[in-house]
Amino acid sequence: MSALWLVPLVPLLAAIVIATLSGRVSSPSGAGFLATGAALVSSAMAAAVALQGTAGSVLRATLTTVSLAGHPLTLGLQADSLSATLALLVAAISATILAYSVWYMRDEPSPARFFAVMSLFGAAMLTLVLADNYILLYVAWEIVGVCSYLLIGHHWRERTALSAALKALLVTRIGDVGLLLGIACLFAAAGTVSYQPLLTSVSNGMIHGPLVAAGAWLIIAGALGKSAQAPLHVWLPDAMAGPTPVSALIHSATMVAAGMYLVARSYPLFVAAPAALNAWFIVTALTACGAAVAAAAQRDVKRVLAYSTMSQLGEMGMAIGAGAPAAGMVHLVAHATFKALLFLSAGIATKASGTNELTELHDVPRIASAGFLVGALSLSGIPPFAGFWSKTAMTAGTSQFAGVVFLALAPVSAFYIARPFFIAFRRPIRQDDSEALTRVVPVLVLAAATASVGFAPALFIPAWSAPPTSLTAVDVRTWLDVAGALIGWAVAFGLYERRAPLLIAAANRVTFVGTWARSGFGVDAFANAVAALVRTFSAVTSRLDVAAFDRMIATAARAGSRRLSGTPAFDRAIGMEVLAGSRRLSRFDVDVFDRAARRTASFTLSMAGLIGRADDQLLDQNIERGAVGIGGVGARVGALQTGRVYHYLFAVFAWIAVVTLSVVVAVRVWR
Amino acid sequence: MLTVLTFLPFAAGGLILLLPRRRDASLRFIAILAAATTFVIGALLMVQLAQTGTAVRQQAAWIPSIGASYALGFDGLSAPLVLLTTLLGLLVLFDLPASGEDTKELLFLFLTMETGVLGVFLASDLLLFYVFWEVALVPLYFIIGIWGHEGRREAALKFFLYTRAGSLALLLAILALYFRTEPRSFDLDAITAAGRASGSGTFAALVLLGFALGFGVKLPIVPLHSWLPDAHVEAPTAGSVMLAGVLLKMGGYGSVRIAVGAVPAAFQRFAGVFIAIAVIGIVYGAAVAMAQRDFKRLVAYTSINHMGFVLLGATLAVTGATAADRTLAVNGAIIQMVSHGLLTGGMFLLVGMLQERMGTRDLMELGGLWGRTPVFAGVLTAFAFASFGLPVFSGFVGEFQVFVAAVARWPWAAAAAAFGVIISTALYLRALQQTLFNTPTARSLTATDLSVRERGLVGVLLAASVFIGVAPGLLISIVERGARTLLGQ
Repeated sequence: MSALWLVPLVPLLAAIVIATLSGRVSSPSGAGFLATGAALVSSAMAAAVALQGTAGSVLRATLTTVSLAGHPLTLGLQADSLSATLALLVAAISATILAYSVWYMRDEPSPARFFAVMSLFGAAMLTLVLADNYILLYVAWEIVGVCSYLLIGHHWRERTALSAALKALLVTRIGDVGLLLGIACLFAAAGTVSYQPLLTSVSNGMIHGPLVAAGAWLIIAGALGKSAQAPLHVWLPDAMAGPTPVSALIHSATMVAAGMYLVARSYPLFVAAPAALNAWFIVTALTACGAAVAAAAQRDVKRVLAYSTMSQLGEMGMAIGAGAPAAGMVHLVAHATFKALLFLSAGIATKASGTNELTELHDVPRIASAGFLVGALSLSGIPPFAGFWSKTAMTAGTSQFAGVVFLALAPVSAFYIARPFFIAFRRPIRQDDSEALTRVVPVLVLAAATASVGFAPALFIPAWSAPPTSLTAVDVRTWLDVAGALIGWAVAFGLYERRAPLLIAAANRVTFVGTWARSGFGVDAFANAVAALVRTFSAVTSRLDVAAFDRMIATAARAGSRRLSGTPAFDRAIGMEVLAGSRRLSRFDVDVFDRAARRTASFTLSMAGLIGRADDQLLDQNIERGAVGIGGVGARVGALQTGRVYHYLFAVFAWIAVVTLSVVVAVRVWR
Repeated sequence: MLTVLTFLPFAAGGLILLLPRRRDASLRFIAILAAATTFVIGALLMVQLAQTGTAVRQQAAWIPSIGASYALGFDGLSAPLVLLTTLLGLLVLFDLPASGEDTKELLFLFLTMETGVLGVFLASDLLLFYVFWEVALVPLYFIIGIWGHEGRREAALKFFLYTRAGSLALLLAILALYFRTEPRSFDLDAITAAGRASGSGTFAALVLLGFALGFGVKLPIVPLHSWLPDAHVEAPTAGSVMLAGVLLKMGGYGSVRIAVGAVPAAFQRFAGVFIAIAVIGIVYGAAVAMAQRDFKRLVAYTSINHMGFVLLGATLAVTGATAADRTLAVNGAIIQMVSHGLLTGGMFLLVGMLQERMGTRDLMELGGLWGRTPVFAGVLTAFAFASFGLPVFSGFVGEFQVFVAAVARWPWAAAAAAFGVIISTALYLRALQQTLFNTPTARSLTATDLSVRERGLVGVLLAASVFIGVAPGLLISIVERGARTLLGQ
């Protein structure tokens, strides 16, 4: 067993330990510290792996090989520079957020379950980024989805949390099933699901054709669901019903980015299917722009962050779609740090004031305010924070057209994140933080990371992509983006801090856009309509099932029964015939079977007497009683059959004949 | 050994009939002992098969004048289903309805049914197959009709009539094959060998039609399924477990083993029809299940959805794009059956346990069990996730192989089946929501969690499903050998 396996295994063990001990450990923080500790160990190992991985060598560890119709299916882990970097990111962010959760979950229900599922999530997410093949990725992909479901519904007594959980799992599963089909296509085309041989032979042109293209399109479906891109994005805003650490870890930093990782990882496939890549670029660009506008219109701080996540993920998707997957991955790392920071800060604020409504947030502690500001600046791409470097990488790596979209997004993104800052986080209160170390330290760690991590991924990740790209060239386009971001901040400052009348008047002019954007441009209503349609379909088929297949036959049987009894001659004739036959049969029965049966019985009895295991009396009684028992059974069943059985039988036969005939006719016509 | 495996349950049932009625506990003990021994024999044979790779066969003269022999075979296709049958046959004995006076008859019927089903899976002679087919059918009629719930009589009647009608078609098809084979024989291998050379003319098409009706009623396929929900709803829990767990598999096994083997060319000619029927079953079963209020009826309808994958696999076994695809299709169909047996068996057990606690199976009247009965809630959640094909559980293994077999030549069928999987996700999530979450009802506040016996029952099934899901290689290698033999690769 390679050390690589320990990276996901340690959090998995923590999850198992917490789940089994949950009944016995009374202190909720015990579970929290155990989970945090495991995540720290895992990060240390991931760091070791990452150092080795970035040195150019790819660590591999094979778990098992399954032979499937002659094709060896090797399942294992690999740590190239991309996987190793992301593993380190996942483990480190998990550790930080789990530590924060120790504080957050102090007064929440069932903390043990929470920490068990969070640890399980960490293990699955690490497997997802470290897998060296699509099957293991899919397994982890589904497990993180289930963890997400369980954690969104953590407050299971609340209806909103429940329906959000259901919606999240269901909508993402639409994409997941697509992904599964895509993997099936790739396996059918290539006979392997391991990235390295599969993607190499696609790049060489050794494997091509409709199955490969279908694989690329269906991988997009999976990524759209998981990364909340249009039109499968509707679950993410609702998912904010989960506890804030869940939103931070799963619904912004790691799980939702898995779709971006998947597409970047499969990039050679998309080079072979350029139409799919173009479609991907368009969809992610639309999501990035739409979600940015929607984020600016939200009233709930967590929903601002949710739409912001969609928009940022959309930007990553654009970078990948425009030919710079490495830059997209750099932004994934940067986004994970600053978005987790924003969520943790927002969580402190919402916990302090007991509401998520922007205008009602009050008594915001200083640490939350400072954390939010650092995160917001980073998101806007202001130097020297992480977002600046990743956006530089994205503009440097992509075409002019993508650059124009990035430039258009810069002021909007800055505005939507500056807006909550000026509305709610601008005037913090002093608070004694000494007692809540687990609340403050994670925020400080993430803030420090956001301030410093900028260069790091740009050093590691390009080593994975071929050809290696330089992502650190700061040119004029970068500075244009920064200028755009500053404009966004200025507008938000004028509107919410200075309350400049001119701006307010302008804002009132576009209220209708705001209303429309707040509802996610009505896509959610559309999705609900689709869901209602499916429900109706289900209800109608179910009604039909009873009416067509069940009642129809029974009615036919009854009608047949009535018809037959209405024709006395016919009935009597048949009856006489049957009766006569029956009499003859009965005589035969007595003659042959009864005698035989009696002989058998007496033979058995004498045998029994011979063996002498039981006295005659007992056995005799038993047989008699058994006979009565079986007779009783027969009588009870018989009662249900008298009369209509034959008509029913006739009806069933007729039905089957009808079905058969119609199939035969249909086949004839069809051919 | 195969004879012992097959007839041990029946022999024990006969012995039980002879014993005094009042010694209830010892009757049950004998039944359990026999079923456990059967299971151990099955498991040992399975280990042997896995190690040596050669099928176990047994043959003796039966009715030589018409070429019917007593031939049993334990190979890659039958072995997993045999093991499944012995496992479920053992487990249900721990969950029999409390019947008081009638324990004797009940045990006898269950054990006889087990022998019948084992015989169906093991028979290598079609006449023998047919005899066992009927033996397996009759006991369930009594089990539903006598120990069932309120509407048991009509349900039992319907079940019996439908399956009788199907059996008749099956018998005609078998006889037709018998007369075709030169020299006339019921031997399955001879018929399969002749089948490879057979055409796809009217004769073969009619034989195929006979199988389609016979196996189609049992699977069931969509227009012939209306007996299934009633039979399940009215049957006692143990009866439902056996019905869904193993009796439906007789239809799937027959489709793979006999229809694919005997009339491959005709099957291929009409493949479009069967693929359409399979896909309709997958979507229709899920859609109808989603609208149910009765939890048991819901689970019953999901069987139509799951067994649709089996028919899809059976059809792809003759029409898959490549040899590898056809092998995968057979693999997928067999593993899907094993998985469905474990998962739906477990689901029915859980619904039974739910009804005992809550007094109802109406989803609208349930709720809030998550907090009160964590073990039950966890197990039900696991079974629901497993049933909609979450990896790590067995369902994924079968469905994935069927999907791979389908995408190259029948992409629309794969897409439609995928739609069925999405609906089935929705329906299980809805059922979980109604049962475990929402507002707790008065009853759910006093419900007790699963007892040790109940945990054992569902735990074994869940563990088996996880084992197949986590380490599928073992089962796949066994099934694949059988699949290659069947397809002549």
